[in-house]
Amino acid sequence: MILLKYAIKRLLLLIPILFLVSVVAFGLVRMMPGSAEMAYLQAAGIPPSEAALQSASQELGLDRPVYVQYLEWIQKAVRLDFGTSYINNKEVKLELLGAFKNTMQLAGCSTLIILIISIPMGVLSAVRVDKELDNINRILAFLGSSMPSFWLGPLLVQLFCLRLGWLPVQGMGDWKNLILPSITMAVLYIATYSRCLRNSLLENINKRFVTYSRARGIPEKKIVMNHVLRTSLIPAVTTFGVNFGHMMAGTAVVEVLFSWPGLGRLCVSSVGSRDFPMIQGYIVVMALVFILVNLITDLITVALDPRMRESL
Amino acid sequence: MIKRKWIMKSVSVAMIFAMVSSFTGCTGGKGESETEESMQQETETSSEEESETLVVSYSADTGDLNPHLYNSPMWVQSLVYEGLTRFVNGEVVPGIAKSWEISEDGKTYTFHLDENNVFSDGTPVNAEIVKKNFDAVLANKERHEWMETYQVLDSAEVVDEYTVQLNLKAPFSGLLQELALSRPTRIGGEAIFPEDGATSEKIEEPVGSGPWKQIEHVESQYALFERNDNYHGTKPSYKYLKVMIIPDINTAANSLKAGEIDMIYDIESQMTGDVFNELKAAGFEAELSEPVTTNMILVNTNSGPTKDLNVRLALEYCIDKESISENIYGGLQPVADYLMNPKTPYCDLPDLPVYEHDTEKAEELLEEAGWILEEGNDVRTKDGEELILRFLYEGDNDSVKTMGQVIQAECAEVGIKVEMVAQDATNYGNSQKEGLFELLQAETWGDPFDPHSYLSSFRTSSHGDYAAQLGLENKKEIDDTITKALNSTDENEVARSYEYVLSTLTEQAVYVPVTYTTKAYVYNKDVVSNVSYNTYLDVLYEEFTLNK
Repeated sequence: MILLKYAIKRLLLLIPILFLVSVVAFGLVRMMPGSAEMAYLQAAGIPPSEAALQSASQELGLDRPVYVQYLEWIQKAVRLDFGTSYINNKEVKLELLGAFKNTMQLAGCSTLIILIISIPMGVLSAVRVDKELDNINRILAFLGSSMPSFWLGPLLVQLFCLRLGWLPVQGMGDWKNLILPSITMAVLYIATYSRCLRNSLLENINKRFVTYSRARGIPEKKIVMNHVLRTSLIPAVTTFGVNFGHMMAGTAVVEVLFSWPGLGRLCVSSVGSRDFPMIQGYIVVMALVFILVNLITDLITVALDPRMRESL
Repeated sequence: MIKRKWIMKSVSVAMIFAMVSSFTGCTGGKGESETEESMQQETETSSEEESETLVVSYSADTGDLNPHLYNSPMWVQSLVYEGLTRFVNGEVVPGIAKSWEISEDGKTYTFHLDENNVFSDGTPVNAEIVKKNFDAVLANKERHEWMETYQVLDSAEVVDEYTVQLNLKAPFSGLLQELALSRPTRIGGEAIFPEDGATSEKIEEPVGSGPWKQIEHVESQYALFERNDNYHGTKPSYKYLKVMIIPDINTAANSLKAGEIDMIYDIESQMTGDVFNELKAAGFEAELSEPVTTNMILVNTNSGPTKDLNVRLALEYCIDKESISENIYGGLQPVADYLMNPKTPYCDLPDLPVYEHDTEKAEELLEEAGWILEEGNDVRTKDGEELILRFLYEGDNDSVKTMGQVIQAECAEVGIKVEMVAQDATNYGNSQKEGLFELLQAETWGDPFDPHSYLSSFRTSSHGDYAAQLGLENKKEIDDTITKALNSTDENEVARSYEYVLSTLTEQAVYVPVTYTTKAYVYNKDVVSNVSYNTYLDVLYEEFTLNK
């Protein structure tokens, strides 16, 4: 019940936050250097004469005061109508939705890989602290966190696609297409979370409740898995909450490398072409993703730590 | 036990979330309950399809295929739609029109259509539908006024079922060439028109009479074209053309190596010398087209030190084109001697001066202009002012940036300081228009825009060329001569006029031609043959042979 109330309160907070985000998104986009009219004409291959610029300005509604433009946009945006793209004349909502679905596939698959690898890696490192396994994991973590995706991606392509011929180089539609981009995205986070979990486990492993559990004769494996891991997951979950949004927003490099038609690619091309409706829609969607993922992680944290429930 | 449940619960919630999101849509929209039999059938069909499919890459989505707008790449529009004329191997040849006549005053063009020609959906290509297309384009005329055609075109008229007439307000010598452009005057069938007949917003279905018809389009992933069996020209010898959308050229190269695509036809000039040579070394056939456009430096005659002819001439002499061609473009772009490649109609002018690399001559000219290099200084000065030139370029264009840096170093040798000014595409467009530069990287427009459409743009204030030429005493004369050439029906007069314009601009050193751009095409020679280059807006895929 307390959790439900908390979730409802947080969801209600979404309204003022999104309102603020909409104002900032609208304002920032209009403060970008370069005019949308010029970009619009360039995309259409029309030389930007004075007359052409003026007619583009009227056509796009940019000749009216900014607050009028904002009010018109926000009225539609609350009904999830973000207008049509300046560049390809398509509905922004549908474009964003299509790209969002694709990026979610990537981010979701990466999350799966991160969970499967980083939790056991973190636990094993903590249990065998400073032993061989911990050292190997440490080296792997260093390597992982120092490999940018624009370098790791082509390396993986060389090995798995060109030398071994196991996986496709680019495209989407098949499960095989998901593997390399997901791994490329996951490696950095695996390194971060496994170390984060290890350190957190080590902090907790000598706490009093662990000593008492040992005194009660509970087997070591059970103590680690049932008691220590649960408490230690909290920092990793919190970090993950923040990073999931980053992961969604930072997919551009991987999406270009593997020709994956997701949000990152869409955003980069929209910024380049000053596609105002698309950029505004993108910012609102990303803000929503950040807020919702943070809410979910907060709920998971509360679920993991009963003490937090009392503070709600 | 309860605690364990908590951990399991939270971890599994996260895993389910990840799994659901990662596998939603993986089915690619196909029904989930496909039987084994139908799947087997599909595999057989797909392998048959594969052997009949030429797979090529392109860097951007193929768009909505509206023949009257600008949202699709030009070469893709040319796959599906035909114009009244076509531009092949440097000449205007028949398109939908099998022949034409021009009235003596050059204001009436009568086109005779091929009576056996039908669109891909079987409907006839007649005068009525041609007129309907022209009317739709004319209704949105202001968007196309950058083309000379739409400044002079008054109306289209049906003469009889297979004869259509274009009425012009004034004669225009480049009309047949501009009608060959892939937009906005390509002819679509009745099926393209929305209920209100206006194609200025959208079309209903992409139906044309070109060699291909689009049968599938998955946005930002691929577009699949099938041979149009109704095509009245040489039909493609293979059945499908699949265009994979691959934004990164390195990814496209890897995809070619892995056998996922058969060919990279580099319309957008993304290929670097390294990638080209690497693919060649890997056993792929790697070819370069004839020169397509001229990559040049536009020198502003109306701003700063480059107002002075001697400074502009010094720039002509101090830039080492050989070195740029070899070191920056990896030999993919040969050295350019002239602003317009001599193979362009009316542009074979061997008497025009060619400026060879000569730093001593450049220094002499600068001294003559009063720019003195004082001892201990790196930059020349005149009346206490340093010789500084702004080199404007689009910030995300790496090869232009590198070229600018080489030019910067070469100019430094003769005491000219070049400041690199990087701008995003929109600001770059604006600065061009306003003439806020001394040096600007630019390109001619290529076939079939050259020379008519490109030279026509010299008269329009929205172009960098216009801004850069404003300092010339005879700018008005240049503009009037271009207008005279465009409105003339006399071939000799057109030739004389263009010769005057090009020789004036060369003597006045307004352009430093650096290299001729080419288009690279790399393909698996075991799979594709008979590959050629035509123009970057009309690739003759129907003539290629597939040997899968």
